Amino acid sequence: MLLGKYNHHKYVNGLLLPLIILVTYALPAASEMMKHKHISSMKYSEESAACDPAQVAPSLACAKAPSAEFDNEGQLWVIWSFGQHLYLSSSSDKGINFSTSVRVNLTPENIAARGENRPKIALDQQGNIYISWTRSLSKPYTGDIRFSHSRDGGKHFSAPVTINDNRDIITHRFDSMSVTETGRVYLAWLDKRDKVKAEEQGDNYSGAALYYTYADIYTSPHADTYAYNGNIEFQPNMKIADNTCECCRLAMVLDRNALPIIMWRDIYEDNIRDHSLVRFINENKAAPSTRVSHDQWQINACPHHGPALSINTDNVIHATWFNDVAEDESTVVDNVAPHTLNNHIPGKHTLFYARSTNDGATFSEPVGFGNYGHAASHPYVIALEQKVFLVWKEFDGKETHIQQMRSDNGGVSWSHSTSIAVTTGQSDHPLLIRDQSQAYLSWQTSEEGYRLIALKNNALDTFQ
Amino acid sequence: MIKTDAVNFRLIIATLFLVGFPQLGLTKNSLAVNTEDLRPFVSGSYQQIQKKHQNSEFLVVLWSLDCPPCMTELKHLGELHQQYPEFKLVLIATDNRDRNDELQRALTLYGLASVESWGFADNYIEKLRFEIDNSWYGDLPRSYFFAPQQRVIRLRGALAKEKLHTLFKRNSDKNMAAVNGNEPN
Repeated sequence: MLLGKYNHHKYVNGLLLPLIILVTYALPAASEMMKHKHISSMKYSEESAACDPAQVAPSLACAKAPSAEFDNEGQLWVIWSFGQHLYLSSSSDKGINFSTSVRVNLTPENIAARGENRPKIALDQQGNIYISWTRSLSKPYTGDIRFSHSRDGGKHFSAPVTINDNRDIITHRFDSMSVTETGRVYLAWLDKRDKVKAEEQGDNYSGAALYYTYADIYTSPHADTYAYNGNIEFQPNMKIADNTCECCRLAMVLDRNALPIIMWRDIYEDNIRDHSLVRFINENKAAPSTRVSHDQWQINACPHHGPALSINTDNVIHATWFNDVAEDESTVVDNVAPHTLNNHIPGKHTLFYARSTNDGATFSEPVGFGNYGHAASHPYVIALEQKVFLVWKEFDGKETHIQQMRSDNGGVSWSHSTSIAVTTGQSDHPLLIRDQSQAYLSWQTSEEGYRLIALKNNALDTFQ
Repeated sequence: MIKTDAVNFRLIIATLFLVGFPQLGLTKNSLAVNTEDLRPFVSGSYQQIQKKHQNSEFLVVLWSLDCPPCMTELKHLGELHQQYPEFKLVLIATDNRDRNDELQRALTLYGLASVESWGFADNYIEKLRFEIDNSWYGDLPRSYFFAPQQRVIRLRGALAKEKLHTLFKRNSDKNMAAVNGNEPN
């Protein structure tokens, strides 16, 4: 039913491409396909024997750090990692049942698949599917940015290509991807080529750099011939910013001109880890970056907490981030069991939200949220017209909760926080996705497996 | 690859000893690889560590292979451990113990192979973090200095070597005050 849609695609109907696909991919891919069922009792961590790639077949329930998106038809697409392969599954009933899963990379490779650094998926208006990820290399903190795509509804994928044009075994990690409706792919990532260069010359260079490129996959004059042989022509890598934080996810959305807006944890002055945002004048020229947060969190550490962004048809930019300014760098703490401490400290927050109505030039006064004493962390935001949802993680000593707040007026005011999902084991970062009319929590837990939870759209009765 | 390197490294060391070259001067703290696994850090381990060292001052350092500033801190710790071997240091890696070879390799590299070392052994890391500090969000490195009178000083980020040195050599309240400049009194 769904696949029928793609059978009418102009490229798929060509003569040459199906032949290339058949010879190169269809035959080996067919043997890789496997029926997948949602096995909720299995653990997603590969550390557990129940999910050891050497012992069990790949399954979404055992996957590490899955990411999901909806296509225009409301079909859910989930990219997930198991062992040294990426797999794609889809669901036509909002995550209850999943289709056959298909391998994306046929040649095994080490795939970064953790909360902050995970495979990404995007779809264009025609339903073409785009995947990016970081391939981990032999040395610590090193990686390459990888890319593959499918133009036949996820049945076959192009040979993965490396996007970074510096091929040293250094950091090219934390890929972020956005795709326009017409299939232009924007990729951004953290890159240490400038740090290496500076240090070779005896200079200090703090953090990493933000790099960027793009490609028009299907409008290139050579699209028909190179699409499946890996010869995808991305633009030369462009540096957007120096001295970024080096271990936090990036956030990227597209503005009204279908150009990227990127937010990242930056390094200001001496290890002040506030956030910056950049928008683009055109695809080859970034505007000067602006500072989003002014929390002055100074720390020589890896926060492992990147920001999140969402933008709506009204062009309001919604941003959320973590900055642990509630805690001093060096303080005396009570030497008592944590559960005896007063957990909730009003006014003390590590999570923040702000909105911009002028294309990111300035942001509103940040709203702090989350229970400080419950380690409120990893916030995510998504806007659905005037409704804006924030979710984040909390741990109360026994259970991990995904908390949610909602705004019905574009982020001007917010509801109280409520728990919308809970687990008693290992869990991934909470992510938010949307279809045409609804926002969903996408969350992987070891006890329950992959979950897609619809966020309520009913009218709010309480506001802070 | 790292695991392979670690195995190769062990083979090289083992070969050197087998063919009779222990006189190369490989000291325990500099190159010998600790072949024992890290101690499994599970629910209750933190309390166990505190109880074990309750009669002395000690420093707990949390670190990870996925944290560049942690390596700087380990380097400083290794140097100070050589200088003050009697100072009680406890290292807890937040990486799962299935990365034992990589963890041991890093500890050996920085001369910390003989230090009491633990590795996270429960995938429910939120629970382990909470038992250490209910307002710890996972940033690394971070340290806790257990001082007399049941005081614990939370130290965040990679500490400057001077600050660590003050901790290692401290034996008086005067030095303590220098360490803890932010202590509200």
